[in-house]
Amino acid sequence: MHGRLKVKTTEEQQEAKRKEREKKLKLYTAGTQKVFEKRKKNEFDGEILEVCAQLLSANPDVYTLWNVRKETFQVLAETKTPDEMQELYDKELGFIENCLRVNPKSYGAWYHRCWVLDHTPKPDWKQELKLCTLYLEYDERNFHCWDYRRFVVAKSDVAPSDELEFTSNKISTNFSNYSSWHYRSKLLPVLHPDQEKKGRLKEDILIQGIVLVPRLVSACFKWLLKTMIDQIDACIVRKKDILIQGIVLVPRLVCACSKWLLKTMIDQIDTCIVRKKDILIQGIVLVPHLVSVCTKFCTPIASSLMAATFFICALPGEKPLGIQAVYANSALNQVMVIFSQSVNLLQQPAEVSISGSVMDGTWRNSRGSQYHSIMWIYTVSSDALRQEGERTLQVKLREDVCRSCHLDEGATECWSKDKQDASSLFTAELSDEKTEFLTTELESCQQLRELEPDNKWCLLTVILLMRALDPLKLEAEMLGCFTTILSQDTYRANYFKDLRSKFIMENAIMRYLQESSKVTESQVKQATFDASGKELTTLHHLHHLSSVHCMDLSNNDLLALNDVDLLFCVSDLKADSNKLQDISHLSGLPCLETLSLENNNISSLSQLEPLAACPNLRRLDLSGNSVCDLDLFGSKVRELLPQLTSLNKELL
Amino acid sequence: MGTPIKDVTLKPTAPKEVFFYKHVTYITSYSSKKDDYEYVMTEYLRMSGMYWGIAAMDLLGQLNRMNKQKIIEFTVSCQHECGGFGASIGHDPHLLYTLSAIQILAIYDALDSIDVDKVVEYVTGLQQEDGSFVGDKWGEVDTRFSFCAVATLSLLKRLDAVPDIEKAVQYVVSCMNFDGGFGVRPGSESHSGQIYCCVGFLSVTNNLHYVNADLLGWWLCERQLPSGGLNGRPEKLPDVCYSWWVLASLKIINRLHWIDSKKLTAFILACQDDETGGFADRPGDMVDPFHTLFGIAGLSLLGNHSDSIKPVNPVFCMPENILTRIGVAPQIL
Ligand SMILES: [Zn+2]
Repeated sequence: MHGRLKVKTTEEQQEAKRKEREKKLKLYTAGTQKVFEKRKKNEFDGEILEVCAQLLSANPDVYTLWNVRKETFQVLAETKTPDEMQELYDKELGFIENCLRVNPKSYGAWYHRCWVLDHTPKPDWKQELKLCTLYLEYDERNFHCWDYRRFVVAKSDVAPSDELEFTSNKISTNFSNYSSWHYRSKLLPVLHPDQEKKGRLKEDILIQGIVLVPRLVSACFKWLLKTMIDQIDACIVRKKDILIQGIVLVPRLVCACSKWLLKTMIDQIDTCIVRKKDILIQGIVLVPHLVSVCTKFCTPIASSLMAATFFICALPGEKPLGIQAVYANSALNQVMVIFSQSVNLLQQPAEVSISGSVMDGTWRNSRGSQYHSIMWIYTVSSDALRQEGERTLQVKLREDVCRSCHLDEGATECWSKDKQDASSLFTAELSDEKTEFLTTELESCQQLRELEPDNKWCLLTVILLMRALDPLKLEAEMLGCFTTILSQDTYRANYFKDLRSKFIMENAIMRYLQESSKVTESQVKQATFDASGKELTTLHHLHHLSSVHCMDLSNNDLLALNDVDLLFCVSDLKADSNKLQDISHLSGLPCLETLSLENNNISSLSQLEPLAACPNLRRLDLSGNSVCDLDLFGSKVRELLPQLTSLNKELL
Repeated sequence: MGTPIKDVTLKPTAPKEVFFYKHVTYITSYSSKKDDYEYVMTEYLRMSGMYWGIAAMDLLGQLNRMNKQKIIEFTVSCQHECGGFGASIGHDPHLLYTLSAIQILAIYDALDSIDVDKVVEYVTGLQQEDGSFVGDKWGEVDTRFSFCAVATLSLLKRLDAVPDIEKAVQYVVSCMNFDGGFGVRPGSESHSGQIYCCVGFLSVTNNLHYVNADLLGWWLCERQLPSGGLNGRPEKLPDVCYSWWVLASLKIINRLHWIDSKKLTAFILACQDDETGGFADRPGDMVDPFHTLFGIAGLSLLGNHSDSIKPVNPVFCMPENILTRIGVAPQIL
């Protein structure tokens, strides 16, 4: 079904093809019938194997025929000696190999090979490994063969270091071999377990190794370029004799240089893979992209190197499960809890107790959905939370996942949360050494950027490095890089806009937390979290803002208010002049009193329905939305939202 | 040293409209040529072939052109003693064809014509100690089969019958890679088809929180090539079926807008055959029912032909209205 070109044929050709197919078809149908009949009669013999073989040679995807072969071997094994079976299985492996030659992507043929090796008395794993190597020469990306290789390696205890070397060889013939990079991502952690916890020595070596690369790459490229230009110039000037010399020389130099480069790049990426979590590495991973820019292998290499980048940002659930914050509000009669990972308290409820006695109530997540969530809200069904006096409230999911908060005498609310250090919230803390390294790195990248100012991989590297170094100070430059990327990669424009929004939000949160730490608690309450006019296309990290009371998201490019359900304490929310259509995430916000959504794309009353679940909503401004032009707009909104006291700045 | 970029170029003369009736004719006539070479040689996947045709016809709103009675009879006749379905008469039961059979019967609202308990018994019997599923009694393990198992049970409203759902989930999660994607088994390379199955599995079982949506979404949107088509892995050619698997996965994790949907629409339309109807993997190749369904389903997800194509469910690749009728709503981020 894949890669069969439709070709125009003459009638004569068509007729010839038809006749040939008719013949094949007859043989195929007769063969299949024969096999099915013999199977019914339990005639598992040499003949059934023979007929099956003919059919499978033509069409190795007929899974039932492979099953018939397995059945036959099972029956034969009952009467034959192990030596006789060994001979049969050896022949079978030869047959499968023939089938794979016709169709190297046949699931049935590859699995049958696994099955045969699992049953043969004396499997020759070395031979199998050779077969893998051979088939990966035919097609270096055949994932069936890579998987079969891993099967063979596991069965025969091949050393991971040998396999790593195999991938090294593959990569040196083709740097874009994503399958090899993938395999390395599995092998390296085995070869270097628990790298992060080992002493400083390794880290130093690591840094030394990495520091050199970009400098060398950049120097090397310049030298290469200069040499080539010189030589070509020389050729042009001095003509024939030297021309020949020059032509011979240049490729040799390029070749030597690129081999060296290649080796260094591979080492570099490996270290990144091993030391997955360190943000330090984030920036470095993309460097090889820059090399690829220089060597004009940019696009193909790009995707294979994305592999390494991915790895750094990847791996979910790195934070152990814990409770990051608990907030109790006796006026709402609710307790809000933020976990470090998504949990589902509908499946496994957490216990909420006050001064040692369990409070009855019900859990819902911030979205009001049945799914996992990091924020859960407990509505207490008694008045236990409203009792007088000093009390301690505790939320407990497990012995090791629990948190308490203290309600003072007369207090209606209390918080208990992890200290949020603004600067380390989104980036790792940097030692002087690391900072120096990253700075050099950034300089190298900037140099390369001058050579290829529009290359998105180069720009991405620069962005990541700037974020690791000083996200706030370098914000303007980061935004500039994004502007260029957006003009270059229009296909993925929305991805990069969303990524930019994430980084902008990180900066805004860091600034807010820094400022909040300098003022009193009541001043914090009055302060507005301002993320207006920032070209935001999506919202990120809002759980860090669950205690914010006033927020301004106006003048952005938001289509929806995703994740605002995490703004548990927000009472005054402005999101004027966006492109909002979907405001469903506002549903259930317990503290929301004032909501301004001027100049958005709200056109129907049904879009407002989620607001009915905001019990404290008093003031709503929808001016400039086409919904206001509907007949009886005012009375219909009042019907839908009887809790309102003001609509579009008019008192009701 | 590196692989040059692999892509196709769309001709200026490439189709730009949906050949609605040509596709209808293509599918109806495909199943009528029972002695045709192609038809016989694909007997081993007949059940899935029928599902591709039926789902496509239903998405086009033309299901009434298919012979419902005969199709149901055939499907029922492929169920084995053990409860599983084979691809055709005489072919062995397998999870792949069991899902296809259940999808066909679900579309026709004919699940009462088979022994559902037997199907549940067959599917649940294939779960292994480590949580994985084998495709049949011969023991091949693949995350595709994990998806087939829960999708089948979900359509039968018997998801609760999985012997150990937590282990099943952990097995699929253990196939997640550094790029956010998923492979065939733990250790296998990320592959769009496999990603679709694993993301689909996590959706059906309400476990999408395991997916790193930003990371996976980036890998998926980098699959779009200059031609507008999507490939299944880096450095591969674009293909209509991979376009569907990538697109559906992006839809499930709510990142569909990360690709250029106009460009992708143009690519899918260019894969139509203006003579015979049907879609090919790439412009100029031979059409087949498989790519025809995924072409139509892709256009449905892209949402710009809603006048002629029904909304498709990204997890089950069946019309949404069927799932609404059954009462199955897989998780979407
Ligand atoms: Zn395809």
